[in-house]
Amino acid sequence: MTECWSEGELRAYCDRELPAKDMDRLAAHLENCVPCRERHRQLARQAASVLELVALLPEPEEVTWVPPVPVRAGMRGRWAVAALALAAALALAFVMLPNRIERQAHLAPPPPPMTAPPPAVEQPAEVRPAVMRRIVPRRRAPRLPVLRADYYLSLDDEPIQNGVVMRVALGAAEVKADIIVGSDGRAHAIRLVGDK
Amino acid sequence: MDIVIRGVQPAEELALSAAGAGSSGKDRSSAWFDAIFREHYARVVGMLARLAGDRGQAEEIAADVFCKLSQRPALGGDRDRVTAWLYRVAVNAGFDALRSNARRRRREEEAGVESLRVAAPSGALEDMLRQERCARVRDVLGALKPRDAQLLLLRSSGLAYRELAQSLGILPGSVGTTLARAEAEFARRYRARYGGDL
Ligand SMILES: [Zn+2]
Repeated sequence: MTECWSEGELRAYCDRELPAKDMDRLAAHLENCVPCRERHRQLARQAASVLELVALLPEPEEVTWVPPVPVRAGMRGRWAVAALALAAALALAFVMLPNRIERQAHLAPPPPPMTAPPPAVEQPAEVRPAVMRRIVPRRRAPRLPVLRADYYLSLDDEPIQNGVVMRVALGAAEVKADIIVGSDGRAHAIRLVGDK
Repeated sequence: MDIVIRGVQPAEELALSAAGAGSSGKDRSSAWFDAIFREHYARVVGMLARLAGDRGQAEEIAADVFCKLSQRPALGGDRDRVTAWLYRVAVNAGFDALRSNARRRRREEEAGVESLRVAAPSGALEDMLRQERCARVRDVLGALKPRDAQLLLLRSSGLAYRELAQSLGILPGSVGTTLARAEAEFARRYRARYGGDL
């Protein structure tokens, strides 16, 4: 009789994770060795039970990573300044927008494209932040781009290769927004988020 | 929000740049991060969501961990080391979230479980049972060593031994042993808390 196999090898055998020749050798050994066969049976049963329990925990629906479209705004800005100014402006703007907009943010999918003009809202002068115009520098009479749920606004002119989305709360009103932080640690884009 | 990262939607005011623009030295130095991010982001979020029971929380933790990683270029030289670091930090943060969620759940139960039971429509019973079973599994996972919980979660997500080994920073040949021990420990603790054969 060939030499007995370790617990780790028997466990890997259950998952067919041994090299092919070891799979064959171990299978042949199990034919002849009662202790190994019993140990293998226990390990397989335990593995199945544990797997069944752990599998109860729901997998999140597919987490997608979509390579982003490179976005170019006309002018480079220092992101920290831009983000801070945006944060302040957003906090104000969001608080002052009418319920209709707020509901839109809450019931996000699928939002209209960003090209839709902002609804007629009386906005105080301070809601038109300078930074918005810097992001849209080519327009003579800038229309304020509207930040909406699910649409990112670029904060600089660097194409975004990839990034991490950071959820932040802006201002005293704690308006939720996502900021895409690039691999350089800088924020490159921002969007509003509806409450869950 | 069911999608973490969407393509950046350009406003009409924003012109698209030529594809491939901006291949600078900075890009090269962050190439290792790009690769790690692409390979592991979804997996880390999945593991954390199952552990902590909250997708949004999982995304926040993952974002935080990847952000930390991006600030540690010194790790970038060794792919295996980076991967093991990533999962270790993520699963530890997931454990923190799991514990605080469990505390909150206990408080909520103490405060309102009776009214909840009375108010629950009959169709919700199955849902409550399922949640209770999930809570038990999380309880037991939370009592294991974080790396054992990590191993069980990733194995049940279908990772191969080679990938499991990488996430734990061990040799592929050690996965069988480590997995068998983690399963035995899970089974022992589950039986001790909730009885049954398992
Ligand atoms: Zn034997």
